[in-house]
Amino acid sequence: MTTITLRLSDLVIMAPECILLLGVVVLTLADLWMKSSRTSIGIGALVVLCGALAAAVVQLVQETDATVLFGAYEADAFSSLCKIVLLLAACGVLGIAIGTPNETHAVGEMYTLYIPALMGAMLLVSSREWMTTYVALELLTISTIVLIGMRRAAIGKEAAMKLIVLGGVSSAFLLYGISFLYGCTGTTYYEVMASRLDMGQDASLITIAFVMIVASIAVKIALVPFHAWALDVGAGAVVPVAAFLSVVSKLAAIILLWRVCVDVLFPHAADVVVDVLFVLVCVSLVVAHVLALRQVTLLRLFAVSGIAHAALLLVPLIASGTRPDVDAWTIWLYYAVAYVLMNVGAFAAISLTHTTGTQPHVHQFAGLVYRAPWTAVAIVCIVLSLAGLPVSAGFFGKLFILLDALSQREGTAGIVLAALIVVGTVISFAYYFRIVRQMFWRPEGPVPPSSVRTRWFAQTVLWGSALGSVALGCAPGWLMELLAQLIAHTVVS
Amino acid sequence: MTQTMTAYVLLAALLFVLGLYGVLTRREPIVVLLCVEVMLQAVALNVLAFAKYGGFEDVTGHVFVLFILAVSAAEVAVGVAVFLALVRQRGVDDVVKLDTLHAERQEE
Repeated sequence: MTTITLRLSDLVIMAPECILLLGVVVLTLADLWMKSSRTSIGIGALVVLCGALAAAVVQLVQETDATVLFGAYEADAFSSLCKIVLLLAACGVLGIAIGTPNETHAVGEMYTLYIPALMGAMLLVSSREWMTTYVALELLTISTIVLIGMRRAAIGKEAAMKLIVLGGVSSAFLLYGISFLYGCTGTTYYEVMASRLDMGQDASLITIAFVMIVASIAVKIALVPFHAWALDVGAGAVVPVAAFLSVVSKLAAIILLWRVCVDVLFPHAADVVVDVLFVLVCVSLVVAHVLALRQVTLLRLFAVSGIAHAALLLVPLIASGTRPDVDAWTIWLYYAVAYVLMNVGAFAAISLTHTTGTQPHVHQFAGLVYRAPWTAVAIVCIVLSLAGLPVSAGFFGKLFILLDALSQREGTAGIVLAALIVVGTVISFAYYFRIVRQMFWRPEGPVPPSSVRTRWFAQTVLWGSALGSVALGCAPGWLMELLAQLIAHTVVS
Repeated sequence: MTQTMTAYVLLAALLFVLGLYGVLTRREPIVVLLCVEVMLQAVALNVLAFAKYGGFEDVTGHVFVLFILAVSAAEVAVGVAVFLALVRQRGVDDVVKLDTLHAERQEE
């Protein structure tokens, strides 16, 4: 009989999450007792995120490669990198949130609740066991539901209600799938489960469980047959929360799918799972772009276009077929960084030009170049990256994914994927450049002068992502080499 | 699979499908939430059946069920709070009438 003890050295391995946990407790108490101003809580949350970011970077530099709690939690180079990406994205989201007019019932919670949600996302990245995965996933979902539901307008609560019901049903399917895998193997650890699963004996049961698991994670990512909730929930949330949903939640779910596929699903039923994912990704790539053409409210537009980007992020996984090599992981990480930069930047732009009390609409950009020319320039950089035009992070990200799909998947599958990526990109020009057209070729609309210039945090986020996108577009090789070098020993081992 | 375990697994499957049917057809928000719970508890029953009759020596399954219960309780707590706030604000308790984001979608 072994006893489980959690030593101090274990907590050091989990340092990024521990810092977030401490931070959220301190900030909540400070918010209760000290009647601090809203902005100071927001800045406090930003400091906590920076602390966790520092811890994650230190782990990455020290090449920490350790497991805690019998391997339920693993800190390796890849998960540290994913955490850094998620933390940077969350910093951007908080930057957007600080200084927005308060549209919620809450005071400080609007900032502090991002931290447990992010903690869930980070645990999800490191989790190598189903119970941990489930708890992390629900921590992420429930915190996000509260963030959405705190909006004063009724549509916020409606969006939260939809996410509760849909999240609940998809969690139930995930758990139902897991319960059969547990029934076949008697364990919940990915690695042990993969070694004990026996396709010869209970093939149909295992296949059904796998399909349930893939489908329920696809709901969380909002791949196409399961995408309807993402539009409504995105539109019902306030702008920073919509940004969090479309960047942090989505990336965390995609990382979970990669992890689960590579560790548990691919060793046993790679062909079935890859076929299911192939269909989902192809349909998502087409339908998301076509749906986006019809959207005029910006939050819906970005909720839909996020689905197309998410589908792109799954292409390296299905292209590799069985076990993704270093290249696939590197390409994935590169596009994840690009995705974070361009989407956080886009939401910062929406937030900066948005008038409180209305739904963000594409008309809010009308004549922006006359009001705030430099902001307009930054937005153009981000739109270029989103559309995937040259000298931007988005362009090289798409190019790498396209080339990977063609080289890894021979035959029609690779060509179909590549063709769909190209066609989708062309369609996306139509809706992304609507924003540019509004900014430059429309007279200043009935939009009252907003505080575009005075919101320093959101401006910093906007410029940071715009410059980051351009920099990554100018020197893509630098980041690719760095990423490949960092994760090389993780993936090989 | 022993006969007892098969019976439990079938019961769990029945409950799961019943819950799913409820989520898809009922219009009262609270009943929808209850149906989601029925689905989650069906999973708990499934795990327990495997843990008890599957011939495994450890208590993984039992612990898993505790986690499912605790997390779904947290989910319901948030769910009921949001539902009550929404129903009070809108004055209707019918998920079809509460769905205005859907109407926004139609107008476009």
